[in-house]
Amino acid sequence: MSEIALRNVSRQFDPEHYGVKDFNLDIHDKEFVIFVGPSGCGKSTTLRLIAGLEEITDGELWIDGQLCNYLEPKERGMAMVFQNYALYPNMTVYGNLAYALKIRKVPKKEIQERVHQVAKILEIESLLDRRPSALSGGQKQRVAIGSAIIRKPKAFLMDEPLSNLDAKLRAQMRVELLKLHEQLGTTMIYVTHDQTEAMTLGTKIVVMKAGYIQQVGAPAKIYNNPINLFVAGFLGSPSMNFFKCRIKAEADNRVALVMEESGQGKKFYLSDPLTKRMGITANGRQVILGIRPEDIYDEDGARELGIMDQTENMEEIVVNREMTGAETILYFDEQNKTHAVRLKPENKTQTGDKIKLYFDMEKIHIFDPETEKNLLYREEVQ
Amino acid sequence: MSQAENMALPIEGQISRSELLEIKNTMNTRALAKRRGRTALRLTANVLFAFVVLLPLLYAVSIAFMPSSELFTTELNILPKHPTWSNFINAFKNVPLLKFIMNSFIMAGCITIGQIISCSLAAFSFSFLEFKGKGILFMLVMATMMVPGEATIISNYLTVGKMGILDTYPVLILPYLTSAMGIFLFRQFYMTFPVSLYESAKLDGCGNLRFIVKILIPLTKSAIGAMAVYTFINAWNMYMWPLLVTGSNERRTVQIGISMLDSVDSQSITLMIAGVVMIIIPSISIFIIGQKQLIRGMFSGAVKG
Repeated sequence: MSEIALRNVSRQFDPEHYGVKDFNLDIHDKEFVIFVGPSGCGKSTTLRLIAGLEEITDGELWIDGQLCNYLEPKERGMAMVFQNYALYPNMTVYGNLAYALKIRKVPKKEIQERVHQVAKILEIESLLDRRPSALSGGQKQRVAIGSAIIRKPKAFLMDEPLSNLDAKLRAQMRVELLKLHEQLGTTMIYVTHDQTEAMTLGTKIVVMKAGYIQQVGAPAKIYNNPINLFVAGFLGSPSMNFFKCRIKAEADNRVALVMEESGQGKKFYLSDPLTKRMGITANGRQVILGIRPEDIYDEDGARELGIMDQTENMEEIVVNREMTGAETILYFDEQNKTHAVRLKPENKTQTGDKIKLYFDMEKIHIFDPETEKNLLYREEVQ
Repeated sequence: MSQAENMALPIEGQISRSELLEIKNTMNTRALAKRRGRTALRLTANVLFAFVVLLPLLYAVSIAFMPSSELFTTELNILPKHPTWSNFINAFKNVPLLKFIMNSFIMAGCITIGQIISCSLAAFSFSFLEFKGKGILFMLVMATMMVPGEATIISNYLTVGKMGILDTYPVLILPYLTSAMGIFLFRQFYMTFPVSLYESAKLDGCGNLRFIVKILIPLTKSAIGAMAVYTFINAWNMYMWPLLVTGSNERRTVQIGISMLDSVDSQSITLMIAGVVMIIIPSISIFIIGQKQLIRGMFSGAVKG
């Protein structure tokens, strides 16, 4: 059982500089919470505040109903996995796993049992006599996780634990972490800047920027319903495309977004539900249209989906083409920025060719250019 | 037939396989000869240079075995014509050299152990702990390195004089129980130590002292070795301070003892050199034993890795 609550938590480094500001979050038992954001957004600092490695300047940290601001790290019952593994080089794998228990004066026999049990879970039984220097990156990672598990902590804190591994091993460890979470049923708090990790691992994502929480929610919900321009652009790869547009009220109550600048003055008609949700549709108001690369289609795709005649299409010149095997990603320039489209691999358009693109208007997002808020944000979905 | 043998050579037809083998062999021999020649040249140059550097020391050893009549002649005697042990025997007879060597060992040993303990603890707090004024305090410690020892020697003497510990072991040891150089050396070494290891230990429930004893010290053996060799040799070679604070043969260190061999009444260079040769032996052997550690420790932190 572990309920962690952060109330208005701040960490001030110097009079003007905050690492984390006004952080409010409830972490429930058995959740897999991911702190994600660009580097310097305060995600690691928050984790260290929970661990007790940094001092909380302001606010309260509650763990299982106990105020923990002033508790020593070891009294908080957390276990942490570091980016560089932090294994003791002078001890064997067995020694590393057993160390925390030894300090806590657990009887030798029990230590032995637990070490073997953990080694079995992580499949490192054959490595117990080795020193960390004789292990590969993936093995070190397992040992690091093992020495966290063995203490049966209230929660695991993981600070970018997979970022030192190569891509293949990372994908493999991701799966194993998920399995482990299921098996142990312990709360996990995980810091990463990798949004794939965030999307695949988390039951709850906390998107941060410059020390502030931007949005909290389940991965799919945040992905489909981002609260603002930053969250929309941060999650997803390639990231969401943004176009500057102006609202134009047409006859028969239809509302269109008109592409600005070099955008050929194309009109994109909003469906009635979207118009209603957006609320203010003042004629001439500037907005930002956001659409994910997978919601833009070529002619074949649009015909299949039946969105061909819903809106006007855009004719663009492909400036770059990436073929990943399962999909083709085309890039085109518009409004002095490069945008991406994710298409089926059958699309054979080459660099320099022209292509007609169709937007799925049900999937668009509309942002206010000043407040950067999502005008189509749905509160109730969170 | 293996695949390699099946493959056609790019120049097959123009040259036969046996001819090709012959060319390969001659080229191999030539490359080997060239490499051997280069090694020989390098070795000769090194031996020559080492000889030039070691000449004074070798000459001293040679003099130590000469009767004094051989040294004070107009001829150049590089090697003793009638080698003798008498200089060594006389050196032991004239002054209580063994007692002096003993004193030096006690002094240098205590200073070394004291410095390792105090410097490693100080360096730990400078590199792992966060406290107010850490930067300024460290700067102050470093600043003391710029004060020459001679400048403080009088005030130090007055202090220990008032304490009434002149001519004792503590007076030889106490003022040298810590050193800014040692703190600096250890701190540099600890800086290369991943902080996450310390944090991980803290989360494991490991206290500071336990961390130092169980994790930090085992992992910084080479720094400790370097520090020990450096401190021991420095303490062994101390002259001014022991001369000032010791008065009796009971507490004199070996460096002062040696100078006692040379007096106005009995001036004998050969006797003195024999003494010097004897007392060099401990410091040289310490250096030989610890040189690997010394080099590794001194250059640690110079490059990452």
